[in-house]
Amino acid sequence: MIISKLIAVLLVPGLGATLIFALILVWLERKLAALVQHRYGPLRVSPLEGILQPIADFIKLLISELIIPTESNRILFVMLPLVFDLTALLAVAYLPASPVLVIARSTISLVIVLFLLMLASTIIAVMGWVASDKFTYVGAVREVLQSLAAEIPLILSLISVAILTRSLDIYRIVLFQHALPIAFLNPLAFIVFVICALMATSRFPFEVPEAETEIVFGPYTEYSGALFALSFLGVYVKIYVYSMLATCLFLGGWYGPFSSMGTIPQIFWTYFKAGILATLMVLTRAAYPRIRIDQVLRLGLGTLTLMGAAACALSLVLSLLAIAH
Amino acid sequence: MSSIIPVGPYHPALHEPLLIKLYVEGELVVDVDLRFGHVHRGIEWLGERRTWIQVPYLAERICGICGDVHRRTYIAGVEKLLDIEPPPRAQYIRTIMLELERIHSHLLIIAALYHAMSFDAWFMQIMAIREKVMDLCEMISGNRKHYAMSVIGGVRRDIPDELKPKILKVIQEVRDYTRKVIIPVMEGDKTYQARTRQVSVISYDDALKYHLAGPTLRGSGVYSDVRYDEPYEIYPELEWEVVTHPDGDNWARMYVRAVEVLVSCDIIEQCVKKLPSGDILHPKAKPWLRLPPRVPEGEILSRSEAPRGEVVHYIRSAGGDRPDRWRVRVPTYANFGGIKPLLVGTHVADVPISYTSIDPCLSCTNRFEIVDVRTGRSKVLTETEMKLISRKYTKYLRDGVNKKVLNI
Repeated sequence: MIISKLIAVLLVPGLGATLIFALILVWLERKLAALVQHRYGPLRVSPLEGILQPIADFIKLLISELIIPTESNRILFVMLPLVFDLTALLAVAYLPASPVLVIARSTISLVIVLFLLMLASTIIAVMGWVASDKFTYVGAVREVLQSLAAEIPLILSLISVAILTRSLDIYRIVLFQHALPIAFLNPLAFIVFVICALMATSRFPFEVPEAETEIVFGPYTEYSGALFALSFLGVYVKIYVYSMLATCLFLGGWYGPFSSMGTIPQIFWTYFKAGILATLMVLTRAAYPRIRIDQVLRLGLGTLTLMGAAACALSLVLSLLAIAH
Repeated sequence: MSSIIPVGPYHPALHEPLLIKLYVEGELVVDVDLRFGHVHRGIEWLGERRTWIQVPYLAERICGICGDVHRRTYIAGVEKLLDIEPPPRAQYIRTIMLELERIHSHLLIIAALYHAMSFDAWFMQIMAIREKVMDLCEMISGNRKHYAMSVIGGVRRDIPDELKPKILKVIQEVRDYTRKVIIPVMEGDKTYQARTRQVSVISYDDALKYHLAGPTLRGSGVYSDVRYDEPYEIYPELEWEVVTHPDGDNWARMYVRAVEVLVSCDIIEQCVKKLPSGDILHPKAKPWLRLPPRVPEGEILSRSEAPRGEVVHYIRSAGGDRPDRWRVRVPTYANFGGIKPLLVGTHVADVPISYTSIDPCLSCTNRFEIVDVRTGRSKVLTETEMKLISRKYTKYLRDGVNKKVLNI
């Protein structure tokens, strides 16, 4: 029991898996985007197609000079990227990679994870505000608006899952899907969730808060060296959490196509699904231009909220039918 | 209560240094101020100290994209002063080069617009097709840029017959790609339309009022093109039409450019097919390849349609072997007049896109003049004075001496 907890914290789905997932995702994003764009992408640092490039970049950033703007609040400026990382990492605690490999369980784990994810968005906004620069300020305001647009439909899609499974425990929601993933039962909720995940993690076409050609790098503009590496890592940890959450809630978690499996195949299936989702999330970079913040708001608070409400209604109907049978 | 967001001099959205001060309320731009002069090179000053046949090489370097049109405009002016006309074959070759330049310039700015909205995948696809045009230019002239094709009285290099099928093949590829991919994406892609339609609208009247030029002017529905208004080279003999679009928004400006690529393809195809045989250099002009001519006294205003709009070269000769005065007015200078109707009322997010949509070229535009505010008199500095000021400023930066040392 203690050994499995230790593995869960240090390896899967805890620290080790998170870091490796993030580093591979950074590499995959650069490599696949390069393939679409007639480029090579990372090539040199590696046994295989520059796969170690993110690690090299990370080390380079850690040892490069740290510049802190004189007008910023120094303590907050240094602390916030750490808090951002911690918040995103804490959410991993409630995500099961297999029936035994789960760090913590709670009857309201879905609510806790949702709270931690929303806190992460707030921290990004505070990061932009603390740096006291015009670009970071604009980025912070956009981050607040965008997370507002993402959260309402996100909550609606989670509610529809809760209605269907009559549970707020992520672990029990996975158990519910042993026969059929919820993505097939309620595809509408799944679509809403994925689009909101794109919004909340600032992927294309919702890369509005970071918008390189408009406001340099949004809330992270003033961060350099190790602090930049940390905040950059935080963004990818967020993607990890969202794709793991989608796997657990909609794609049946550790369940594969075969009925009885050991721990290793269960971990494989979890990460296979999460990996494909995360890759799709970063690959939208190659398919979409960036849209404007008012268009994001119209989409989030209009169409997506309606779709989320419809997903709730669908869940309700399915749930009532299940009672009738 | 508005605050200022500085875009530039160094900013990811800008390809050349320039400071756009955006006065914003929230994300809405309420006023805009421009500061440029970071890339001033004193080309006119240099030109007035070089001979008639050295200046074209300098004129070509006014712009990094549309250099050939500057060279052609200057040379056409000198030819008029000398009262000679290049042979027809030379005029055809000049037209081919001008239109190739227009194609690659337009493709570049269409790609840059996609880059401004971070659609890098599409940016690279368009640059890939542009690369073929660049290779074609290298096949014809020996250079990707700065072709140095026109000389006084003709052209420097001939287009051999075995190159013709290659030109036609590349032109066909570019036309197919533009017609089947670039234009349908502009017309069909919803995200692209959401970012460009009804953004930064310049009306027909405003376009005339602010003296805009080129595709920016034609994107507002104004029927104006120097190739049509004041035909030069062999444009009147060819079948082509001026492209306009009535909408006046970012989308219309880019659409006009995309259709102009098709028109340029047609023009090049006709030129290659009709290319007459004969000399490429006026018989009187042979010695002028090495020796500068003595141009009779007089002044001339020479015009061409560059990819970005109308280019005007004013040349005055005092009868010597070098120009007495040479003045260039480039299209971006005219288009910057319309920066207010372009940017005021848009979002901060639209600024890179709207700014790119006028196809700005700053190295062409920068001029430098010192105006004494107290007396209102202006003067031009000599090279020595400039160097002195520069040294003083370096010293000031290094030692932190009192700023009064700078007394400019």
